[in-house]
Amino acid sequence: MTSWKKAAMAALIGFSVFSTAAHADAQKGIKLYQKNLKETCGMSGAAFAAKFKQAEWDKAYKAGTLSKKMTEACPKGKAFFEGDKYKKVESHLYDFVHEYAKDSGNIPSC
Amino acid sequence: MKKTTFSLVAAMAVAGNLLGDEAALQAQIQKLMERIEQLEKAQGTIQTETKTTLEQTQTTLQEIKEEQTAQSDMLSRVNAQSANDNIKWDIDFRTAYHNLGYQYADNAMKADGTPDTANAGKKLTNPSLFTNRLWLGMGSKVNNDLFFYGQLAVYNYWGADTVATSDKVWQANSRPNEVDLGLRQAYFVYKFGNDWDVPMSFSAGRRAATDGFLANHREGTAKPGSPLAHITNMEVDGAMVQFDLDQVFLPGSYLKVVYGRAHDPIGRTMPTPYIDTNAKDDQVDFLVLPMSVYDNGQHKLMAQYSMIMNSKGDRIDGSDDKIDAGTTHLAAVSYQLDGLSEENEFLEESTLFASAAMSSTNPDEGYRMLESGENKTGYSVWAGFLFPDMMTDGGRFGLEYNYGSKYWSPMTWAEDSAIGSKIATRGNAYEGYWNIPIVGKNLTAQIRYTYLDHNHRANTTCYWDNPLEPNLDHSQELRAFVRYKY
Repeated sequence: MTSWKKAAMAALIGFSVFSTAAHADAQKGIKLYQKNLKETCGMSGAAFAAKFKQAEWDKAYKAGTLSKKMTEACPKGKAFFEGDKYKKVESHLYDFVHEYAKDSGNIPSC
Repeated sequence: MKKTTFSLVAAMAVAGNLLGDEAALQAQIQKLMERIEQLEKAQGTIQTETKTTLEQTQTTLQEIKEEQTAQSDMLSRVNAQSANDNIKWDIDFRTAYHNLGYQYADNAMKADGTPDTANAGKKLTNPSLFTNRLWLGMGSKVNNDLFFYGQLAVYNYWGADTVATSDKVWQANSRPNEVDLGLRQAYFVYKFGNDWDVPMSFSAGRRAATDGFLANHREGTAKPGSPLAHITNMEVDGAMVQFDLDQVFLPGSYLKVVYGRAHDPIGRTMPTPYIDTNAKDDQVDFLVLPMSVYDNGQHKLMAQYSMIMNSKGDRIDGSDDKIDAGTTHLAAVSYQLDGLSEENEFLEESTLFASAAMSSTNPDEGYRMLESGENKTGYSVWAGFLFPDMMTDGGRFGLEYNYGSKYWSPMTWAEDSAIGSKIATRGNAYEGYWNIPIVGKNLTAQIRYTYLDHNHRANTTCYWDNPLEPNLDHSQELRAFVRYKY
């Protein structure tokens, strides 16, 4: 077996022991906002996320009322926030608004 | 007698009526008394309830007050600890294993055009190169319109010394070198005219010009850097003005105008420091115009033009080399489709991209670039497909292909490939990788294999090599890393 094959096998075996955990993705949330809501809401993703503080987005997400909170931030997006697609992507949108919330201190883009 | 009898009867009748009225009156008074008593009882109950509620409210208020005092104390402690610390740090640390291999061509030639008999046909390998890469991110935000971002970096191979080498400043922190801490990014952004039709931003400093659009996939990074990675991947200093065209052109559109400096030969010796005393080595400045043409989160189309002044080449009479020789023009158009279809989960999580680019060298009179006194144009295409691995949550496989023609010469020196820029390959480059989230986005891993099939000389210098003189036949790298981000 060549050193290339040995190295590849070792790498694959090494990585196979890792277990993966479910996760949301803020970057994916930004893209979802751009695709589905930016035009409707008439504001940038950063402006949308900055409508509330992290604790406020948190509280709504934990209480299962994030769609209402998002509707509050963007009333024109009500149809999307109450639709089936929203339920599927809620965790990504939450990750995005939480990451760039009013008091997050995070910088959305260069 | 009759009169007396009549009067008596009348008096008795009147008395009888009076007695009846009194009884009714008495009954009414009794009812009223009962009613008053009921009302008094009800009032008493209300008073009691009101009193209880008031007491409860007072208790709650007291609790809130105590909680507020506790929170205020805590806030004071946080304030004392961090209010004057205006930097928010983040960490991106990666440890990687690399297996490298180079195969010289049987007809390999040296840079001077003579046969490289020492290396021709030779195979060189390093089956165990290990690297550490640390990025310390610094964010500082006054408000949404004024902020700073910086990145301190160390990218070393295991066993490297601590002495700074002659690595060029435009790739020192992006490819493995020594263990010295360097400045990879540092720039501020000031946004203004938010109520204008074309809002603007101004930025200056060491810009985010590495791992740009499309190169982020092969690095396992969700967010790309600023330029198009097909023609620009360098650490550079510059100033930028951005025009947001979103409201007057297409969704997500903007234009950036960047002017900067990639090289300055000034000396630092006394008594006249910071003066360029070398007549043959001028400052290399550049103008870059990256533009987002359209971006709706699914479809993203970007274009870029770049001009590099005083690009290095040599004199036609052979009296000087690696000197200012002319101007280089670069252009690229890159498209990405993120989510091929909403009907199918596999396709929804897949990404397809394609890019075309060209480079053109324009030597000055009496000078050569790429060993030619004439303008030489190179072409390149780049395509990639990323799709879910169907084994991990969020993990994706990626396949990429690049082709570069004989005179293809992009500015991609900081591309993170230990065997040299795959995008700059004059020939075919094949790449496959697996991006694996282990603990969400905080701990990720990647296995990547890259194969560069050189049809012409490996593209590893500026513009003083001759692409027609071969050296390497092919190069390959297997890389596996684990990356911590928080």
